[in-house]
Amino acid sequence: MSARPPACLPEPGAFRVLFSHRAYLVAYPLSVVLVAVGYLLLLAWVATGVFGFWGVPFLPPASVGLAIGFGILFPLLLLLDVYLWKHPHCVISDRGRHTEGTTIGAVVLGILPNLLCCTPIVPTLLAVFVSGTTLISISAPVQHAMSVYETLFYAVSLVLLGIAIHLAARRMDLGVAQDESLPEPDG
Amino acid sequence: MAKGGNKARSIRCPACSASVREDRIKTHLGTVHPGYRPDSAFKARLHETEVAVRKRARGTTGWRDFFTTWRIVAIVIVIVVAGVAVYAFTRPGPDYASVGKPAPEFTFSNVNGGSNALSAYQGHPVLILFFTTWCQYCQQATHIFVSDYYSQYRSANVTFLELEIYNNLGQSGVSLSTFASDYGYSGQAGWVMGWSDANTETLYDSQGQTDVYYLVSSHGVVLNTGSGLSGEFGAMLGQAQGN
Repeated sequence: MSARPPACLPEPGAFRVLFSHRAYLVAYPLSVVLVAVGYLLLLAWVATGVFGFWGVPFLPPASVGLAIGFGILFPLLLLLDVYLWKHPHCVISDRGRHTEGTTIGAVVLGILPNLLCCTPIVPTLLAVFVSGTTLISISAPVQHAMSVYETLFYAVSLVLLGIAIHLAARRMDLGVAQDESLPEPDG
Repeated sequence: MAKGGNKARSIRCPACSASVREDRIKTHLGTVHPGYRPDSAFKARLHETEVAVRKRARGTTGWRDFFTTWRIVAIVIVIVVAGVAVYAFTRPGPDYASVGKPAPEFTFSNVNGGSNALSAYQGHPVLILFFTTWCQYCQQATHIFVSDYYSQYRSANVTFLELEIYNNLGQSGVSLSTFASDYGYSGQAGWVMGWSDANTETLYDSQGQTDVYYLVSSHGVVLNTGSGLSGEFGAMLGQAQGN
């Protein structure tokens, strides 16, 4: 059980260990479908106010891309965290333990453009402090930025999710985890 | 790892039999016996030990352990956003044109080069949308109207009046002519596109919200108003048909 330093790019090894377990191998594709469909429904609901598949065909390509990206990455992070939680002896140290901030950042950035552009939220919030033309001169650029840079927000959100996965993978002691995933020798 | 006065227990090292604190056995094995490979029984014991150590640590810190800074920040953000969203979507509509009162008269320039007044549509219901060409929800609303509702609105003799908010709210976006042609608008009956002026904005959309709509009855009375038209076409059509 050597406490070797984490590899620079530990993901491939961590994923190999993760998917050497049948349960995770089965859970991953199911989670991908669940998260991707759930996110599509969420974005369509925010955009149209109607919950269901009716609004999905009207989503812009960037939102569909975000939902698919989230569907692929989020279950990976979730399963990695579950694996490390269930196998604490495979955790190198507390290094990179707090991936919550990065994950929350990714989720917030992923939903921000839909919440802040073209909804009454920004004008209502600003109306508490200012009114008239000042209100419009502040709220319009915010909404415009959210709409125009929507794809950029989504991209940053997916990058943050990737960083969270990297941090989670770094916590795995690949030596111990790989030993454990091998079948026990006879006798 | 033991907090709040919990004393760490000792464990016998399987390689050298030395007594080592349970929360340090992994470090001890890694540094003193780097080549040592523990058997599965010891691995299982190590696992149990670590779970027990974590449980004890959690037990002494309780809720403080759960409410980390990030979680508190996340909870506060969620509460604030949810509160503002609930307020924003449930409060009464904009100030001047309000439900149950006659819709204030206004004129606008249409995309075909002419000029129209709201009163010209009296005799049949009108659904008015104030939008900007850069607003994604407004684009979606137009897309949904074209693909799912145009023929129904036409059959019910309801006019859909799409007005670009004065000066696109001061932001850059495609021109209204481009926007109109992107969605196949060519002056079809029952569908009108145009530009609203600053005075109309003051009457109907003083806060500069995008995607604000009004349903006006055939008698010129405001029947409904709100924000976010995409999912409301069906409901507005139903209400318009009874008026």
